[in-house]
Amino acid sequence: MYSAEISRTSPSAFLFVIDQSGSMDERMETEQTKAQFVADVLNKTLYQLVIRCTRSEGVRNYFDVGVIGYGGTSVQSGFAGALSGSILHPLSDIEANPLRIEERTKRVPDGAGGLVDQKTKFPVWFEATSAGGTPMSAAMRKAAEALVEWCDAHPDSYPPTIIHVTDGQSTDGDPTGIADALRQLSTNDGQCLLFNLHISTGGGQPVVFPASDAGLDDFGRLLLNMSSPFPTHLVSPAKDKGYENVSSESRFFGYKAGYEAIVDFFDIGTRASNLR
Amino acid sequence: MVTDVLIAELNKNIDWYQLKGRLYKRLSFSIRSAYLVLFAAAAICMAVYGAGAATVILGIIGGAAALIDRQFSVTRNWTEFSYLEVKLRNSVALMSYYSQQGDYDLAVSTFREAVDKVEAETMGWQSDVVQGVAELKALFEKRVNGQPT
Repeated sequence: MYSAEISRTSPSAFLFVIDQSGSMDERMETEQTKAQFVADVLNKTLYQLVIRCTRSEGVRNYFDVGVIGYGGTSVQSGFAGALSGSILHPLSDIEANPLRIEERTKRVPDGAGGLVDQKTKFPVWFEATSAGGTPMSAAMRKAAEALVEWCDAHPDSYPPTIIHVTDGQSTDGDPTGIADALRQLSTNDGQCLLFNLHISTGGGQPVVFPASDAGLDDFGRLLLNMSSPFPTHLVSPAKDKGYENVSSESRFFGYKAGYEAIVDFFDIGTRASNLR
Repeated sequence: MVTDVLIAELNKNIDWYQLKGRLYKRLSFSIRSAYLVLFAAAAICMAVYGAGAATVILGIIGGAAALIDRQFSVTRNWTEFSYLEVKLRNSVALMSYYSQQGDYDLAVSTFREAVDKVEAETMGWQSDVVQGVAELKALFEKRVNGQPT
């Protein structure tokens, strides 16, 4: 289980399911809204995936990648332009079709004890938006339908990973049933991995990668039960990031996560140890 | 409930394809290994004895086996059984959800699509596979279309 080699002939998939409801408009400690911060982390994650899979001849399609955005009454591909037609795309198509390349400024040490501004290119694929309710069940359903097709076409591949980010409760019914169905989808290498991240600006103690539901409220427990167990090969990267208590008993789940935990969640969730 | 019957039938087929998939994957591996061994033996003969009769015979047998396999996709078709297991398992996961939500039409069309896929992907000459597909289609006609079978 979860041991298939990831290669161009046998790629894996990452599907990001992102809450774009009205409450994602709230500001975080970084002064950005939750929607903007998550969009930045997602765009950076996509860029890092592209870099990780780039060799001398170009980008190797080790992964198919998709984004589903949901908010108000709509559930749609989170990509626009040439990528908006379907949910999952080979990584080389992602690399070739950013919406735009922004120039951003970051502060770096100047080598003399100070900091200087440095311009950096930042490709944008996913736009931050936020409006309306939280049709989580419909989003999960769209994800399941896209992944059934993907698993049919890649029966021996490492199974797809779904990274779901939300800040609130579903407004279109209990998502447990469709989350169960989503986790039951499988290839010959194992079941789909569903990682849930709840983000919050309300303070409170964040719970990241818990092994039990201790300290969680009802909504936290619901998301915990929707989440897959921690894959063994990701335990070590999580420990390296400082999550010492992670074990294979833990769930890949974060609750009331702040900005640091959001970055770590995306980083650890998109690690792949068995690239060829 | 009609969908429960259809799901139960697909589950039986999953078990069957799982067993068959494992068996034929091993068989495919053995056959592919056999013609690789023949090629390797031909190369060793060439190195040790030169282009003698043994080299030529081993090379021809190995080459013929590989060509026949590639031309008629024999071992490739055998691995399809384990692919179909994946297809059926995922169809059952979706059908169960649709059924739970009361979307019976979607559940039924997912079943139909799964059966069509099995029929399209399996070779038509294996009597047990042909019989299995016929049973699935008959069940569909009887339970969904209400036609005697």
